[in-house]
Amino acid sequence: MTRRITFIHTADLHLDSPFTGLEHLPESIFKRIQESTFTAFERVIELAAKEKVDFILIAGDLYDDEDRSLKAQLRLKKQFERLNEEGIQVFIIFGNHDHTGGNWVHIQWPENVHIFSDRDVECIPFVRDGKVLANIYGYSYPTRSVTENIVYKFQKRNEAPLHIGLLHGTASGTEGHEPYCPFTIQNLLEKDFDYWALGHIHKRQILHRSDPPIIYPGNIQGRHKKETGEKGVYLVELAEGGKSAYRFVPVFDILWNEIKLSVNEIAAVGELYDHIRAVKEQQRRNGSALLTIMLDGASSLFWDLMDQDHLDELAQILNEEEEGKNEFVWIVSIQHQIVPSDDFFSSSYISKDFEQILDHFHQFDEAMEPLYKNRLFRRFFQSFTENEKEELIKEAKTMIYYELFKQEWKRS
Amino acid sequence: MSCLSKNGSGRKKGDKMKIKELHIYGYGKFADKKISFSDHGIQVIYGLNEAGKSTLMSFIHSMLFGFPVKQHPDKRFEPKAGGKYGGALIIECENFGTVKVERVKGRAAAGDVTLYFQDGRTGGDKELAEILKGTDRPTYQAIFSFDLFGLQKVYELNREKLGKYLFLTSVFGSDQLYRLEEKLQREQEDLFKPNGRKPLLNRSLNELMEDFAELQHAKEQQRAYNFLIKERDSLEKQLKDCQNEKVTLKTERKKVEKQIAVLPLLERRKECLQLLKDFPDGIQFPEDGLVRLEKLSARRDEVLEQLGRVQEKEKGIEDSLSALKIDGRPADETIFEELKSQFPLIQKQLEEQKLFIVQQQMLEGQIHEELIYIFGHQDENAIKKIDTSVRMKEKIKDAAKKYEQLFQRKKLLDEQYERAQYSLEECERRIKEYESFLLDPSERERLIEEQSAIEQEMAQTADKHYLKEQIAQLKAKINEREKKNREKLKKWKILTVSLLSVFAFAIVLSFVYKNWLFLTAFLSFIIVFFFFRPQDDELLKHLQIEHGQLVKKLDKQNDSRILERTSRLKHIKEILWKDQQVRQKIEIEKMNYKGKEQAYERILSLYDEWEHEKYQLQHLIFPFYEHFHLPKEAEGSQLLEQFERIASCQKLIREKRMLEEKVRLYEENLNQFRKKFEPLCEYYNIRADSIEKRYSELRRIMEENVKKRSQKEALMKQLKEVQEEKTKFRLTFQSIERELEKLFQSAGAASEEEYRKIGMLKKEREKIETELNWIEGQLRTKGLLTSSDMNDYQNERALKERETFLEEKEEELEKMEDSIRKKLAETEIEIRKIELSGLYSELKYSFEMKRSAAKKLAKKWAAMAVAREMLKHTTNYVRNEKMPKLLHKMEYFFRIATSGEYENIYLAEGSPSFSVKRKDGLVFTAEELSQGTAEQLYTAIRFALAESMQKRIHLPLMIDDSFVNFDHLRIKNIVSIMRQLSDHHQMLLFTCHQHILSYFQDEEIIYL
Repeated sequence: MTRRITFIHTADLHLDSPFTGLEHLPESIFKRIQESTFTAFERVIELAAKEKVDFILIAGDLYDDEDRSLKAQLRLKKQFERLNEEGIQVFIIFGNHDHTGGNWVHIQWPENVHIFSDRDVECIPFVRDGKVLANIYGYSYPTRSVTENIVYKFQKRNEAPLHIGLLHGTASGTEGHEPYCPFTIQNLLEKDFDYWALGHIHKRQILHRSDPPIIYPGNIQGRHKKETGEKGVYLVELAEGGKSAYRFVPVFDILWNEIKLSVNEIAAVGELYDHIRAVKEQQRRNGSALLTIMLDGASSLFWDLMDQDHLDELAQILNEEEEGKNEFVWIVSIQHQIVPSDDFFSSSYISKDFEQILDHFHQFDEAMEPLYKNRLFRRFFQSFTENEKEELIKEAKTMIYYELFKQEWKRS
Repeated sequence: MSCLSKNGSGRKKGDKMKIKELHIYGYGKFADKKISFSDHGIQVIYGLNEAGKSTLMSFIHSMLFGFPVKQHPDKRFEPKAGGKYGGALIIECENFGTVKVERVKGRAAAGDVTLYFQDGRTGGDKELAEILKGTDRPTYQAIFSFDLFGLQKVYELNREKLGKYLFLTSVFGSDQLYRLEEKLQREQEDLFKPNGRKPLLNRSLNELMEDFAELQHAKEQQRAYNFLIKERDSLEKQLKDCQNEKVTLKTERKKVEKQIAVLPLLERRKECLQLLKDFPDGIQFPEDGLVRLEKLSARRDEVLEQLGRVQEKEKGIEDSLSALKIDGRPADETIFEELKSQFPLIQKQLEEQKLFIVQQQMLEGQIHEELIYIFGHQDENAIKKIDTSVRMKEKIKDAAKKYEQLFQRKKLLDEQYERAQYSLEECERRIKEYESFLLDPSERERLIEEQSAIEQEMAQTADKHYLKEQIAQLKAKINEREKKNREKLKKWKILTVSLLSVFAFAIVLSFVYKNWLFLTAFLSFIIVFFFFRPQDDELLKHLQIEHGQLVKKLDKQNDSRILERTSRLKHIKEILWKDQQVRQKIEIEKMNYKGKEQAYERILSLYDEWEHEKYQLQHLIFPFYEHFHLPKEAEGSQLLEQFERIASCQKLIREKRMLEEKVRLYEENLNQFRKKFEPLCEYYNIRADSIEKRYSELRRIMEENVKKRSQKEALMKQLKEVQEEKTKFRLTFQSIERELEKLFQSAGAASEEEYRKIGMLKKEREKIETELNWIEGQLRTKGLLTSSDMNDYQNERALKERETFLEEKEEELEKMEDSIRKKLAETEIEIRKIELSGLYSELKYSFEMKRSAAKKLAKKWAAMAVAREMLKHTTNYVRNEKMPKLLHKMEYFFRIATSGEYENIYLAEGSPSFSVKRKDGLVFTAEELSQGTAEQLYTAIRFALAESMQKRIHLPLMIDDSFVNFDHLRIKNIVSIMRQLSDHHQMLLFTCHQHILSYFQDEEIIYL
């Protein structure tokens, strides 16, 4: 009989990390969000207990910052103790967010928790009924930035039926993350392991389907509007000889979602309100969510919706009813990509010169100078990203057009 | 808008707009006035003061851009005398052709504008704006229209203002952009100032800073956690050490305490050991010696006492025995016992015997009576042989029944016979009676003959009735026929009359029309008609004849003889009918009689049958009669009766026999009883007469004897027991004596006294030994029996001191432990507080939220900053790209205007106004120029500005008496510039100076 092991692969818990891009939340929702990373993690533990897995792999970034929230540590410890009672092992590596160089409060972990060394790739055997069923390899970040490819340090050791790698880093081709511990899929395949449990990339993705599976499970709870969709863990079963089966199990508590809403058919702001409410109620059926509404299409409401203040106000009105609801659907923002229903801007009013000037605008940083030079701003914020820059330029252009043509539009 | 964009795309270098005609409905002093402008590019409007030049200028402005609003500095020129306000402009432009722009007073202050296009279309504000390319009144006034006052502003023009003008011309034709920039700047400053505190973002950032500090503090607190944990660990260790020491102290103290407690025991042990030494050696004394002595002597005393008691008892029994005396033989008592059991039965039988004898006598009487009744004697033997079994009874019952039934049938037969005989006789009597009623046969014959004769006669008169009926019928038919004929005739007559009248008319017609053919046809018809008129009735005539014949026939038959015949016939018929009836009855009776006779015969034959049967039955029944002693004449029922009687008699006899047997049996019993009883009575001399009395006497004697005998027996038994006991006690006593002797010997004592003394000594020694043992046991259990222990603690004082020391030390430790515990608890609480407090986490969340809010503000600010930067950029473009071109143009115009006197215009950065360079190289500021030259500079600037508008629109330029201070040369120069410009712009010059007119052609001038 071939022996099988089952385990849960998760990463990037970022426990107790605040959501970004939210402001002025009612108390009840604030509390729920504050708990959401823990709630999601507790669901992971429940899943482990229910499925009676052999162990849990956590591929780094358990905490959000190097100083490791004490609350997170204590809650984590409680959950690990629960796993200990169930006889479930935990294998942990630390990533760039919770590297071991941080200044944190040391907590005594229960005996089922195995933390990989930050000096070299370590091999910890998984033993069941006195037999080694798998060798698990891992490496914890000693500092925030590990820029070398450490995959070459992973070497199969001893005789074991299965070999599993725990790695926190950026696979080549995954953009938009700090390029820590860069590696290629080929690097991993050459190691001839049976499973690669990756972490660091928050969007879940399967880099290699089987022989061996190479998987980023993503984080377990979205924390800003870009981390949309269901978040969860992988439940993996490995059999001796490397046969694998795995499935994604969602554990998130609050869904971040972006919904595109065409305003083509909408003729009044009231109608838009009803429309968004309907969207909200539909969303509510699937649990609590934080929504970004993206309006697009062509509409005669262009001039109404052009003013961001209007949209913010609309969002505020829509959010008024959410306080105290069991499952809330909070509108984070309403944004628009609407064009006016006619070709107003192509009319003769705009001098080509002017348009050209606006389109060839390169003085963004100059314009930001007073802000960037502000001590406090520098302290709490970084310069605007390229995306933000683009957005802001667009907004400014719209603002100019809006202000200049508002009169004309009102006249007609 | 869409048409606009199309137009826009087909736009050439610029539209030249030309005013062709003014039509004033009512404006200022003008009412219903039309002014046509020349086709030339230049139009001079000359008029003296008050002629209405300003009014006209205002009118043109108003038509294009709306009436001035009430608070506007421009006058509205509403007609003072009332009447229609407004008018129309006929304009011509390349893109739209000739258009009439009409503006009248309307709801808005600007008035209602209507455009009339060449093609018949009309339009409003929107179309007008298209034509003007969005140029508004301020722009127009700034660029295209200027006057003397404006010229004076040249001193104020600086680079920036010029730029602004330029910008308007190049981009929007309005200063909204500037307003926007100002607005943005305001809003931006509301949001954020680099060094501000109040603006929103500044405030947010400051708040963030505060929150951040708080957050850091919370984080520090978390750091304290580490310290607390270490503290807790060290405290826990201290506590453990403290506790360990306390335990050591406690063990030692316990030991000391024990030693103190044990001291008295040690003392006593010493004493005991000394006492044991004092006792003499070699005391021999049996184990439990004294107890055994006590036990033995006690037993000896007890046995002696028991012996005395037994002897006393023996004597008592012997006395009682000698007092007891008995008469009689013991055998009698046994016999009496038997009699005693029989006596109640004997007594009862004696009673019954008497009763039986009486019954027996009664039965005897009855039996005798019965026997005599049945047999006539008293011999019982006769009756005994008669069979009275149940079978016999059944047989008898059957036979007697049949016999009875036989006689019953006889009775029935007798009755039937009597009835038959009677009815036969009755029948015979009736026949004789009927025969007496019969007619004599000859008489009868005569009557029959007479009857047939009368009947023949009567047959002839039988038709008379029929005749009468026929006559009546005929009469009816005749009547009917006559009636019909009459009606027919009547109808025909009416028809004839009418036909005749028609005929008469026909004739007249024939005469009138002379149509004889018709008349002829009609005539023939008339003839035919009359030919068919009603005829006389043949049938009626025949009927009347027949009726007459019948009446005659009837008359012949009517006479009285017929009546008489009829009654005679009736009488004969009656007699004959009666006789016939009687004959029939006789016949029936005779038939009856025959039937009855047969019945009678049948009864007689039944009698014979019955006799036969009787004989057979008697043959069967008579043996029974004989058996039961019945005479032959007796009836069947008597047989059963007899049988019952004999059966009951037999029963009585049987009862009597049984009684006799019982009496005899009782007698025998009594005799047997007496045989034993009487001798006893004699022996004991009992002489009472009745057996009962004798019996009770004997019984009393016997019972007494029995009692005495059993008493004696009991006493004898007791005596024997007592004697046995006595022997036993004696033996016991002797054995005890022996044992005592042995005991004394074992202790080596001669007497009991001596023995006791030795025993006491031994007991005392044992007591001391026991105590010693107990002490040693106690010491052992306290773990102090090893020799070293026993010798260490001799000094009580030293021990007590040690104890006190230990207690103090312990107390000290206790206090220390308490304080450590307290500290530990505090630390624990502190740790728990930090663990439970989500403060850091919560602060982090709210900090992040505030950060998000601040970021949003920053973004808002950034968007504005970008927008402003964009506007600035645009302005720069104007300044750097467009301004030089403008300056160049200005210099050009200024050179021309001054006939080349001045070559360059400078507009230095930061300079409050323009500077110019004369051709000799001298530089003057605007203020330094002469009035005229300054005005020429201004004019050059204005012209240059208007020129720069070329790209967009070429509106008419309005110049209001601007050249008053110019010399004729310079005027000429200016006019030449105007002519240059007029290629693109209609030039409208308003003047009140006649000399100026000379520079223009006549057709270019309008005189007001």
